[in-house]
Amino acid sequence: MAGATHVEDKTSRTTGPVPAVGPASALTPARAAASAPTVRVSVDGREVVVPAGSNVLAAVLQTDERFPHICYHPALGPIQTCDTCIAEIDGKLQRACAVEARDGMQVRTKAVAARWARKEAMDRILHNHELYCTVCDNNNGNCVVHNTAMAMNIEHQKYPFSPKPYEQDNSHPFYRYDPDQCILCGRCVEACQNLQVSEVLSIDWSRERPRVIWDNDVPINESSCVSCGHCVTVCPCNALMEKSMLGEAGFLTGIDPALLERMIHLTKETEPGYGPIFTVSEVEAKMREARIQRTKTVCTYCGVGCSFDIWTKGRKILKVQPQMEAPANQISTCVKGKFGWEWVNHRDRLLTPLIRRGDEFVPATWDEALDLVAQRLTEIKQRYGPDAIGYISSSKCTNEENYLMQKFARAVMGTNNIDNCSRYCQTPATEGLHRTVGYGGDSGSIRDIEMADLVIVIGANPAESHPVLSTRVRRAHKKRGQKLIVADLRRHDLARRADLYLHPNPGTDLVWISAVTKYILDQGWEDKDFLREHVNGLEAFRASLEPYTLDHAAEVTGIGKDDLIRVAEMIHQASTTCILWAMGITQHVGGSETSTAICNLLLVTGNFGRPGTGAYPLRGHNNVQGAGDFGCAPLYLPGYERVDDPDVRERYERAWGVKLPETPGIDNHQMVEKIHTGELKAMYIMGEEMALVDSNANHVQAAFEKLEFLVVQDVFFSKTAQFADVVLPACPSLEKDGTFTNTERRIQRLYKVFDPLGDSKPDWQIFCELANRLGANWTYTHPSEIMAEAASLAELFRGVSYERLEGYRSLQWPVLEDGTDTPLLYTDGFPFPDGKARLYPVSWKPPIEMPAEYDVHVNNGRILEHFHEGNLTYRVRGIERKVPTAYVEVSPELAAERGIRDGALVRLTSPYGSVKLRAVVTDRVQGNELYLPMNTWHDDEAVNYLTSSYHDDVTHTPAYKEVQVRLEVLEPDGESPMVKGNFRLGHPNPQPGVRVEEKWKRADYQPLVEV
Amino acid sequence: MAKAIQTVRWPEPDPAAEAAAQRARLHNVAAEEAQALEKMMRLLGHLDDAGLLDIANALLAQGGQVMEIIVRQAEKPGTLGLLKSAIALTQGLSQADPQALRHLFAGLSAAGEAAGEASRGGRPSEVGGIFGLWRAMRDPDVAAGLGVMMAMLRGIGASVRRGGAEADGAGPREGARAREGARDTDGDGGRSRR
Repeated sequence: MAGATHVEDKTSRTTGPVPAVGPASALTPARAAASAPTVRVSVDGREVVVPAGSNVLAAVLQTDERFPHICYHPALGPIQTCDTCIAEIDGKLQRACAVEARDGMQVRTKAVAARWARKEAMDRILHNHELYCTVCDNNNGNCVVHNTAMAMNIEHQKYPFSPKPYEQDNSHPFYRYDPDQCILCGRCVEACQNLQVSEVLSIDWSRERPRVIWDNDVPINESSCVSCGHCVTVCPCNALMEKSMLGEAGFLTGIDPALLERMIHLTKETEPGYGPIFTVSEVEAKMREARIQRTKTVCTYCGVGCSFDIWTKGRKILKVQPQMEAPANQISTCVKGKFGWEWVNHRDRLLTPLIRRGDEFVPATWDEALDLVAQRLTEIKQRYGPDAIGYISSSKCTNEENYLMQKFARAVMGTNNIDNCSRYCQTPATEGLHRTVGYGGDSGSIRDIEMADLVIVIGANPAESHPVLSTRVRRAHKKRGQKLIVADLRRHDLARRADLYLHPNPGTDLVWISAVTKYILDQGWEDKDFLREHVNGLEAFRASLEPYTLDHAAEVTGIGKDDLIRVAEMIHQASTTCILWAMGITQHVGGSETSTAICNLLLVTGNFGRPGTGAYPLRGHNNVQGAGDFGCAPLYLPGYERVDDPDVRERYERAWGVKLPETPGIDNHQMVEKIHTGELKAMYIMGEEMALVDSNANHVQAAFEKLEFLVVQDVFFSKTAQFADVVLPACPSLEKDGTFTNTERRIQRLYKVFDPLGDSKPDWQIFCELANRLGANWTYTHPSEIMAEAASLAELFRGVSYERLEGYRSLQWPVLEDGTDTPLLYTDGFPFPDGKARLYPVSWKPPIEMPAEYDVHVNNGRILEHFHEGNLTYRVRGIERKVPTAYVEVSPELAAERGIRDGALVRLTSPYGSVKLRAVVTDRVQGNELYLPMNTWHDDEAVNYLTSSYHDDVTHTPAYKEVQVRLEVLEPDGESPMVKGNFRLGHPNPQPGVRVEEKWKRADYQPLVEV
Repeated sequence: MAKAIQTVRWPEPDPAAEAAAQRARLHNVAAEEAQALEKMMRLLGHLDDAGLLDIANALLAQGGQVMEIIVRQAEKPGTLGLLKSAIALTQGLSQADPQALRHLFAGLSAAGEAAGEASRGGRPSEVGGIFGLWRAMRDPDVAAGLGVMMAMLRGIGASVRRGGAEADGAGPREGARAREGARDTDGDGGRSRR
C-alpha cells in the first residue's frame, strides 16, 4: 500500500490501510480506491499507477519499498528537511516526497547524481547522530535512521559525528530530548505545530548549531507542552524518547553513561565499517522481541477510542506506541493515553475480595465473597421482590461485560433496574437524537468532523475532554481554513482559536440555537429539497419557533444580535456543518430539549447524511456508548430495543430460556430516591464511583448508608466501596480481552496485556461465577462468545464478530450480517417507518433559580491531565507531579472585587454542601463564573457536594451545570495550586511548521536538489 | 445501615507461610521440568569442575569494574593499534579469494623452502647480468611469480590511492559542488565545530 513506510517505522508495525487523516497538503500517498482517478508514472523504466494527488515517493515505494526517506511521515506530509528521498524527476534532482506525481512523469532513482545526493544527505544526517545502536533503547527494529543507514549500505561516516553544545533536557517526567542524537528532521515540530497543534516545538535555525526548542527555549517541563507524546511517537531515532524506555528496552542499555561513552568510542575506533555494527544491533533488536511484548489495546480515558500498542517487559510498561492503522487516532494520543498507565501496577490495587465485618473490612476468598453475594441477593429478592435491587453498570467496562450485567439483572435476578453513567452525561443527547433522526449516536465519524466546512462546538471543551478529536479540528482550522464557532462559558483552547466565540448566559443555549434556526428559516436559507424529501413536521416546527426572535434571544442569552446573525450566515455559507456538544448542553434541566434543538438546526440546514455533516454528542467515557448500546438501561435491551415490546422480549426469552420482566426499570437517579423512600434495598455497582460522581453527593451517600446490602466491584478501594458490604476486586482494561465502542459508534477490540494482578478477576468472569451460583449455567470461556450471543440477538450488531475486529480492524454500527458497517449514518434515509426525520418542537426551561446570596455560578468539568474523580491518574507519578491538586478558576474581575490572588483559599457553599480549594486567577473564566474541575479524590474539593438533585425532566440526568454558590475567602494568599510543569503556565510559539526555508537560507547549506 | 468505613484488616504478613508457598512452587516446577533440571545440574557440575563457575561468579560480581578494566586496557594506544591491525588483517584476509590465497601461501611456502635450501649451502642458480635476468624471466615459474607480485602491487596501489581520495572528502560531483564546503553543506552549523 502506498502509504507504508519503506523500512519499519515506530508507527507502522505492519503494512496497513492508509491514513484517513492526511496532511492538509495534497501531497500524500493517498488512499487507493478502485474508482479514484489515477496517474501513471515511469519509475526506473517501470510503469507505476498511483492515485491522483499522490507524491512521487508513493510511486517510487511501489517499485522499491526500501527507498530512503526519513523526514516524510504519512500522517505529517512532506517536511523536506532530510533530502534523503532525492530522485531525478523529469531530468531534475528533486525531493520525491514534495513532488506530486503526474501522468507521464519520468523518475530515475538510480541515476548516479540522485544516488550521490541521497548518500550525501544521509552523511549529513549522521553528522548529527551518533550510531551506537546496540546500546540504544530505540534499537527495536523500527528506528528509521538505523534502518535507512542499513538499507543504504552506509559503511563510513563521511562527516564524523560532532556533538552539539547543549545538554540533554530531562526536565519532563515522561520524555527526554537529547540534542546530540537529534538529526533536525523536524517531524516532532510538524507533529506539534500541525497535527496536535499545541504549537510548542520549533527548530531554531538561526543558531550555529540548530536544535529543537520548546516555547521560546525553556526547559520542556516549563513550556506549554501538553505531554501528548506526538513528538516522541514520530521521532525517527532516539533523540526524543519515553523515559520509561531508557535503560530498559535493550540488553546492554543499562550501562553507566561514562563507561558507555568510552565503549562507543572504542567500537568506533576499531570497527572498520558500520556493516558489522549493524549486524550486531540487528541481532540484539531481534533478541529484544523475545522479552518485549507489543499488545494492542484501546484507551479508557475518553470516548474518542484511541487504540495503540502497549510495549511491556514483564509487568513493566515500556511505552505506548500508536500505529497508523488505528482507525480513530492513527498516531495521535493525549497525555493520559500515552503516559497514564502506571496505576495498573499500583500497590493500592484491590487484590482480594473484602467483606464488611462490623467496623472494618476483612479479606476473603472468592468463594466466601461470591457465596455471600449470592445468598444476600437471593434473600432480598425473595423478601422484597426483584425490583428491590438496583444494578449500575460501567462505561469503563467492555461491551461484553455490560451485556452480561444487564443479562444478569434481567435474566438471573428478574428486574430491569439496570443503568449506567451515561445517565449522568449523554442520555439527553441520545434522547434528542432518538426524537429527531433515530439513532442515538454520532451521525458520522471523526473524519467527517475533520472535513466539515464549519464546526460548531457548544458546551464542550474537546481540547481537554476529547483531546485527540480536538487535534483534528485544530489541524483543519489551521491548515485548511475550516471555520470554527465555539459557544461556551469558558474561553478554552478551541474558543481562543474560534472564528466566532459566543458566551451565552448559563443554561440559555436552547434560546440562541432556536433563534438562529428561526433566522435561517426567515431568510429562506433552509435546505428546501432536503426538508421536502427527508423531513417531517416543518410547519409545526416553524410555528413553534415564533417566540425565538433575535431580540428575545439577545436579551436572554446575552449574545449580541450581530453575532447571532453571523452564526446563521456562517452555517448558510458552509456546504457542510458538524455540531459537537457535550455536558455544557446535557447537564441542565433542559438538556434533552437543547440537544433536540441542535438536531433541529442541523435538519433545517440539511446537515445530515452527507460526508462532513452531522450531530456529534461527544461521549465522555471510553465505553459510555457501548454500555447503553448493550442494554444497560432500564428501558432498553441491547441495540435500543424496548423491554416493553413483547416481540423483542420474546426473542430474548427464547435465547436465554427465562421469562423476562415486562415493565421498564428505574434509572440511577430514581434508584437513589427509592433508597430514601425505602423501596430499593440493595445495589450492585460495577466500576462506578457513584458516591462522588453522582450529583448531590451528600444525598447519595446518605442513601447508601440506608441500603441493606451493597456490592461494589472495582479496581481500587473507592469512596463508594466504603459503603459496601462486599467489595470485589476487578481487572482494568489492560488485564482483559473485550471490545469498546467509541463516540463514532466504532467497536474495537482490546487484547489482554497482563495477567490479572493478585486475585483480581475480569468483570465478565465475576458475573459468570456469580450467575452460576444462582443457577444460570453460563458457560462463556471467552468474551468473544458473549459478543457472538449479543450479535445474534441485537439487530444493530448483526454482523459483529471478533474475527472482523481482529487487530486494528473496527466496525461502526449498524453492522449488517455480511459485516458491512456504517461510518456515516442516514445516507439512505432515517430509521423511522417512512424513512423521514422529524422536526421536534422544543421549549426552553430556564435554569434553576437560587436565593440571591448564592451569587456566583460554578461551571464544572474535566481538565486534560486527570480522569474522572482521579482514582487512576493521581496514581501516575508524572501526572501527579504536573497537576497535584484540583483548584478553582476565578476571573480577574471577581478576583479584584473579592481580593483573591493565585493560591488564595476559598470556600464555596451551595444549599447542598460546601468545598474548599485554592484559587487560580485566569481569564479563561469571566465575571461571576467559576470553573471547578471535577478531578479530585479529596472529599473537601469534590464538586458534587455542591450540585443538587435537580435534573432533566425527560432523562433524569442531573443538572450538574446549574450550580450557584456563596464564595468566602478563607486565606487571600497562598501557594498557587498551579505548579511548575502545568502547561497552562507556558507560552506557545505558533509557527507555520518546520520552516525548512530557514535551513535552506543558511550560508552553510549546499542544496542537493535542482531548482 | 452501612456507614462508610475505610479500615481494612489486612492479615499480618506470615513469612513462614510465604516461604512454604515459595517452596511448594519450586517443587512443582522441579517435578514438571525434572529432565531439564537434571541435565542442567550435570552441566553445572562440569562447569564447576572446570572452575568456570568461580570465574563467572567473580566476573559477574565485579561486572562494572571488570568492564572498566577491559575498556581502559583496550583504549591504550598500543592495544588500540594492535586491535585495529588485527581487525584490518582479519578483514583483509576475509575479503580475499580463499582459492587464490591457498595458491599464494603454497607459493610462499615453496619459496621459503627454496631459499632455505639455498642458504643451507645448495648452489643458488646464478643470474648473471641483464641477459641472465632476461633468461631467468623466461623461466615459467619465475614469470608466474613476477605476475603475482605485479598484481599485488597494483592492488595495494589502488587501495592506497582510494584511501587518499576519501580523506579529501570529494564526491563524484566535486566539480559542481563546492569542494571546500564538503563538511559544511548540511545547514546545521557544522562549520562552527571545526
